[in-house]
Amino acid sequence: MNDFSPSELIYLYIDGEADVSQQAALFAALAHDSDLQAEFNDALSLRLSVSNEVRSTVPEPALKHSLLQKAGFTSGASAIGSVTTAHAPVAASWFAGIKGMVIPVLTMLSGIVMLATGSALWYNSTTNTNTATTDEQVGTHDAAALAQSDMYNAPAAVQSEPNLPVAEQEAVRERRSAAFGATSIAERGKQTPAVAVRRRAESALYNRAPTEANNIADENTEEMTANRMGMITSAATVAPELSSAEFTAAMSPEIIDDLGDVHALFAADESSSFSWGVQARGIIGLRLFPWREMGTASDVLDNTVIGATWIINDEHSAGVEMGREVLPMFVLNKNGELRETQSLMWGGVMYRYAPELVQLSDGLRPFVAGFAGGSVSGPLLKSTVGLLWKPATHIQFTLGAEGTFLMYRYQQQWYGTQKLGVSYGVTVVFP
Amino acid sequence: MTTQTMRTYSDRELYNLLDGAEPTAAQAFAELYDRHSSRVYLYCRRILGDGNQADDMFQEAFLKLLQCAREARPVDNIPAYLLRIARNLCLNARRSPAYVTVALEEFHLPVDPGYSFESVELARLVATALELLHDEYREALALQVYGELSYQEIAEVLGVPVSTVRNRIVRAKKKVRDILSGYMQEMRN
Repeated sequence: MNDFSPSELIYLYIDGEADVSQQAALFAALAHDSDLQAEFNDALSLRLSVSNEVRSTVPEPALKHSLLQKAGFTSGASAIGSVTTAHAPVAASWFAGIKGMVIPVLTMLSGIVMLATGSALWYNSTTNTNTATTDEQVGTHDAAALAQSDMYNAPAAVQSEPNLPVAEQEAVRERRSAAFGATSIAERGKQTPAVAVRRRAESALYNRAPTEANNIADENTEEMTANRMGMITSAATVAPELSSAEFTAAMSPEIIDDLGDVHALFAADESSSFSWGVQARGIIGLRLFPWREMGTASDVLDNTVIGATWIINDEHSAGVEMGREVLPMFVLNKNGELRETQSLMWGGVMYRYAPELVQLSDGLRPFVAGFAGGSVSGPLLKSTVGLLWKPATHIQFTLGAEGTFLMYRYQQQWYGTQKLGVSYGVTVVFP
Repeated sequence: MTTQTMRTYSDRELYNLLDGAEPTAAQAFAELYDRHSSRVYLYCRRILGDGNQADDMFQEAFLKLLQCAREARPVDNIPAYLLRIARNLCLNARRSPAYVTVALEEFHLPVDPGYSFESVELARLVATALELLHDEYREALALQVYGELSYQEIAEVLGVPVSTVRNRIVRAKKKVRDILSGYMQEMRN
């Protein structure tokens, strides 16, 4: 066994057939023999070229068809049509590609549905909270308008409605009718509704609870005391369904001076409306585990990701992503066969957290992100740590280290493979 | 049963299905073909050249595998078994008067354009060099590089000790490299 020359040991070593002593002898010889080093490189090149040839050689499709016929399979033609491999003809590859997209696309659509449902539920719950908080305020606020009209001898409706669009005027009238028709605060509080509501608004605006002496209605007093804890933000919820013009009309002159704050609060409330973004990312593969040669991206769409992001607030965002990526999908079986997939499609849902407290510089802060989804081969998980830069309100740039874990099933066994890469992306935020 | 399901089956499970009814047997056969056709095809072409005879031997190897399955003969290693059949068929074909040497220019294997020209050219030169080797060396080397069999499997296919296989392959590779050394030198420069 040891009668091989150092030159011959090269081929044994490359084939994985050299024992420890033969490897030691080979490396000792390689250390000081440049000719041997050149031969080593040649042997590697030869092996690579032949193995490339094996993987790229395709028997003609007609051979398969005639073979199935010779074998007596009447369904030979249909079997050809339904079976595709990495070496399949172009049309079959396209078909396989379309089929391969089904799982990630379905996963992404599921994510969109989940996000939309969640958003709708969240939006409804916040709206209902506001409505619940202000249901009784609707009546009291309108009553305040009437009280105001009493005080200043000018009906609030007359002051405000002409300045409103027709639809809003109708809505205001309907709300007033309902409020007065259903429950009279005056009956419950033994106080004119205008006074109670006005005090309530004042309390909210100035963070000042009315005194017991000024407060005739016990129920409203308790409520106002509770609202006191709500500080100035309660002012925004006094009558969120009314325009600022209506609100102004309901207030006394001294309150009107402070309406700037109220407008600001209304504006803040409006700014918290639904915003979303479209993102595009690229991935540069750094390392595959277990170690493999990094497959060459064969298509312009390899290693790219697109997605839609829901900007929950300045720190949190979630969304759906879909991408195509080169992953170490080489499967080594017991016969020493390598099965390779250059790239695969995936899709799923992501979440990102960028803490506002940690500001590295203007608009620059760290973020962490997680992704869960599926691919044509199996479940896929991703995690990213990096930096988020917001140079403007409507644009975000990200750069980070991304780890990917893919599970795939081969010959009834589950396998896992990992990849480390650099992710770079841009998100455009709307509106 | 779908072809997608077939892909999750092992070679042995597919082999056992070959004895069944259509379309399951046809799908199992097609799946085995997809998995192992490239190596058998390439081996036949490297031994017999680029001609109809190689195609015939290639198909015949798969038909004999099917026949074995229908006779319920146990087979452990499908690719090794296929290559053993292909080897016997090719050797018989080479001994027959019908065997015709095919010129190098007629080696037109479809090759993925993604690979570099140098790689494709080198692969063709290796095929040329292979033709210059003694039969025993060429056979062992073809089973190893094109059939992707291990030394142990090649020993089983050829019916010789592993040490003999080792010697043949190492010397065959060294000979190929010596044949191509001028070209390799040019590539390095």
